[in-house]
Amino acid sequence: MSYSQPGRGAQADDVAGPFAGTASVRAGLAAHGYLADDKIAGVVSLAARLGKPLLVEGPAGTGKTQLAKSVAQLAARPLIRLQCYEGIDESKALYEWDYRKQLLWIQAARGDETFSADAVIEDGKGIFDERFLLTRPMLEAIRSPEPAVLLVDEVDRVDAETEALFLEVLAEYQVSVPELGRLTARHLPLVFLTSNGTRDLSEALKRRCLFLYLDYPDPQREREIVAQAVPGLEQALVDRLVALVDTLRRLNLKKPPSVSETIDLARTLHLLGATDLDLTASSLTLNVLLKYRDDVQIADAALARRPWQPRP
Amino acid sequence: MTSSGISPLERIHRFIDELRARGVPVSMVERLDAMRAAKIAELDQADGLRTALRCTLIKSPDHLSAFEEVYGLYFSPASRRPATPAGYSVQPDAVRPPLDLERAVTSVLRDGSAELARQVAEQAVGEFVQFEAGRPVAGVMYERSALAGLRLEELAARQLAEAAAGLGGPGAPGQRLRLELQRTEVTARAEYLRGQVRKVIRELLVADRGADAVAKTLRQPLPADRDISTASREQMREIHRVMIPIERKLATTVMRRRRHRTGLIDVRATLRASMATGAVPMRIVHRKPRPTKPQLYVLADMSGSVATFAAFTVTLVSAMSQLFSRLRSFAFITDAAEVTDVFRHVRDPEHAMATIRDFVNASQLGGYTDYGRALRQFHGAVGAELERRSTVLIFGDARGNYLPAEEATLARISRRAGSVYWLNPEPQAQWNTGDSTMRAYEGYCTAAVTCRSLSDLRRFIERLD
Ligand SMILES: Nc1ncnc2c1ncn2[C@@H]1O[C@H](COP(=O)(O)OP(=O)(O)OP(=O)(O)O)[C@@H](O)[C@H]1O
Ligand SMILES: [Mg+2]
Repeated sequence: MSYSQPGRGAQADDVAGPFAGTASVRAGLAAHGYLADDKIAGVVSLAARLGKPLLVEGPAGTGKTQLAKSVAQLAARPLIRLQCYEGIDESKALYEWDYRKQLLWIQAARGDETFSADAVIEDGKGIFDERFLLTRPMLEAIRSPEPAVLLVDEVDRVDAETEALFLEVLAEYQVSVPELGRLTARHLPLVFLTSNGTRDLSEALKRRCLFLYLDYPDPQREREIVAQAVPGLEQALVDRLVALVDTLRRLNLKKPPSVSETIDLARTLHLLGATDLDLTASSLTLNVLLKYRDDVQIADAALARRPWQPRP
Repeated sequence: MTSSGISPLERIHRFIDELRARGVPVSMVERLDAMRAAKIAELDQADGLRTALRCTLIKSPDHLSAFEEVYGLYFSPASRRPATPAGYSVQPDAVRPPLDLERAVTSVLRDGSAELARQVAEQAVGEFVQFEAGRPVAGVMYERSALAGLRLEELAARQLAEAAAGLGGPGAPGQRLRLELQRTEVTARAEYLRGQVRKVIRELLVADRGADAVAKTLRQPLPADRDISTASREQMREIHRVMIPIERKLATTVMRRRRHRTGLIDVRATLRASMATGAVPMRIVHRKPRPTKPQLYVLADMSGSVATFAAFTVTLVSAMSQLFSRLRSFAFITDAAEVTDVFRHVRDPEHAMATIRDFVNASQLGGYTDYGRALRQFHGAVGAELERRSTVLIFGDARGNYLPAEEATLARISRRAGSVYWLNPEPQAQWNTGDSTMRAYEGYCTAAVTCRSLSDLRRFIERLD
């Protein structure tokens, strides 16, 4: 197998189709169950058409990961996911040499009279071959025989040094393996990175990406998301539930309720056959929506507050 | 000079220049990306250009509000209309009869129609604002007159009172919760209407003097870089909005660094362990995690001139209590009192301000800031428990009303504690002028630094251990 020449050998494939514009992205995502607004759809379309990675940042549970998954479905491309964690390194993100196979090969090759241990040591002849390369998600996305969607999930968890290793993929769509040279993309992948904003990402990384801040959805969109996830729930209850969540997000909570928690509560209410949401139910309600005891206390206090008084 | 006659490309460049002037970092690559994106933007979409520029130029949520404000100046429809003398007043559409404003506002607050809100805003600005052409103003007074004319606060309150009555009065089941939900909605709609009024006024200003000039009048640093001591109420809210993510990032940075530090390889132990394997180090021994959490002692001046600063610093430090094995905070004007518990559940500086005011009213209204006395009392309370792992932070301007500085007390504190830092909200040039006695204290501090903004505070805490 030969390796492509350095540089961008690959073309952006078929991005126009479903990614031609805001409306088509929005409709396409909706068809796969992801309800985007024009802002989200517009940015996804631009990222695809400009061929640039998209960095999606926002609070927990606002649909960042799901966005990448749904885009993969929409584009009918495989999703290749790199889940980041503290301490992840090159060998888990990019590639690793399979030294067991290399050893086996050396053992097998010894019988051969042309085999020279010195030559192997000298230039790695035979052992540094793509056959012995274990591809990890980033390289996999680059080498994929069909266009792929690469999701680098929770990139803020890796440290700054590891982050630097990602830059080559993000900017050049290639991976340099010292023993082999540059492995370039056969097809440009669509790249999504997500971050919870627990750390400032490097300027270098941000420069290479387009950026989308994914905040909590507005009430209208959240009602639609809930109605779609829990179809049986009464509309009036959905309205009230979403309004409550919206109110809670305006308090100063350690962890405001996310879309997933709204959906969880909707499911719970549906299971219980609830028809209304009131203070008698609020201890259950708040405990589903909020994860910290402190937050439940703050919310309890705020909701039981004295009736509205005009501001001075 | 107005910027109405310039080419679209030039307009984008000026827009980017203004972002940079406000402290938003935009590199050359990003500028080029913005141009490429603008070329393929869907200009038939309501926000096609806005989306294209935002996703290429803004890479942090902290910069979004600056983007929106500047975008409004450079790209709102009115700012592309040439300024004509008649453009100084908003002319109600010839075909549209004037609205009954009271009814219209009530309706906006009830169902939140964006279109009606815009009409209300235009009419209110036309009716209640005495627009003076050519004046280099930010439009704050105009906004105030328009809102007063609309009686927005009053109508919002009335709306809620009616809603409350409709819900069956106090005590009806679920009444409180529903009222609270209504309050959120009505407040948000009133906020939206306020935003529309501001928008209409800004469009007038831009039509009058051009985007560049108005942008310059309105220009202020990003919230994180803003001077905390002099922040207005609205600015405090903006600063608070960026403070929460900063707290989280700070906590992550500090904890990761500590974990890193404990993971260092213990060379001696590794060599010792390798004796068993013929000096081949098969087993790497890591250092035992040391209990490295420092203890933090805070002494904050809460007097009028630095109260805002104290509210932010103490809130921030209290939010990070998990980073310290011990955290005790003290506040003073004339007398130092422990406020550790008072601030434990305070998460926002506005709340902290109220807490400070209560504290001041309760103990020492009208008193003079007395650093010497406060230091003595602080030393009396914590002196005995200070040790090498203790860090003392003092927040204040060191303006002691010409009372004795009593720096010997600080010297005593400094001898026991591992480090003493003084964070002064004044620029260094003002230290030691008038009644400031920084000179007396500086020598007993590990470091004394100016700390005016959240960014300053963040940099300081990041370097703390
Ligand atoms: N726009 C949307 N349309 C449909 N479902 C959504 C939408 N946004 C969020 N959800 C649902 O909310 C849940 C949380 O989404 P997801 O896991 O993608 O969040 P996240 O932003 O990646 O969170 P985290 O930061 O915790 O990883 C999922 O169940 C997802 O299906
Ligand atoms: Mg996720």
